[in-house]
Amino acid sequence: MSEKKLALIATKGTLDWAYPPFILASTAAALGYNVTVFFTFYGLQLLRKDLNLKVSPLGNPGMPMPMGMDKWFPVLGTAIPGMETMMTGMMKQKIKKKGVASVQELRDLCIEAEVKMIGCQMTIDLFDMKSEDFIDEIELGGASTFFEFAGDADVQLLI
Amino acid sequence: MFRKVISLFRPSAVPTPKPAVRRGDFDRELDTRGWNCPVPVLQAKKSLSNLDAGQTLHVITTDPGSLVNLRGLANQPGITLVESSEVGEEYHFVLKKTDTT
Repeated sequence: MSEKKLALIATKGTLDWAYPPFILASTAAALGYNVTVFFTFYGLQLLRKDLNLKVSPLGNPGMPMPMGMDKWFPVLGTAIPGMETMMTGMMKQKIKKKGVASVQELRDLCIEAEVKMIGCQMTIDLFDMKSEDFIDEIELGGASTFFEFAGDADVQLLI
Repeated sequence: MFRKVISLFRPSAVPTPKPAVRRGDFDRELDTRGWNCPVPVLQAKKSLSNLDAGQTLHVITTDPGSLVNLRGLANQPGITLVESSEVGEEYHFVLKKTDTT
């Protein structure tokens, strides 16, 4: 039987956008897909040993907020210092309350399911990141590394 | 809601739903109640990998998404869905590992 292949590119480094790549990757792996995820630019934040992901209501009119704040709270108010930390805390609480796994848990499940994760070397150089800050299970590579597996993948997505 | 209120006064009036799967009908049990998508399917897959061929796994979930996810899991070669049922707000599945590949 030929195994199906999924190729993902993760480009976002916020708490909310950490979910799509890890959920898709882990679920696909459970359903028998061979999965590789390429993490580039801000997506690299999802591979840090010490995950410190945040969510921001600023510039995101689609983000639901408690008490219908997304309808009446002034946009500029979401730029107040501490707002991001507060919103991140509230979001994490909600995630826990609704029985949604944490990003860390999903990432661990991905690793366990042998999802291959590739960090973008160019991004690491560009932002002077340290490769030892990232989890050991990743491989470093570039655009050509992505095409090596994406070329014959059944599904390719950029997130 | 109404039934719940009634049951406070007459506990015997509302029979508790019969468990869909009886103890002994399966080899291993996985309780993912309270967990949302995709945790149930991931844990089910993990539990199945620890089973021997021919053994069965009883999965209990409260996540409606698991209806699709666990059927998807059962579509994989080597896994079959023996039974699935809904009891109240819970979903019960019995998955069988048919071979170890």
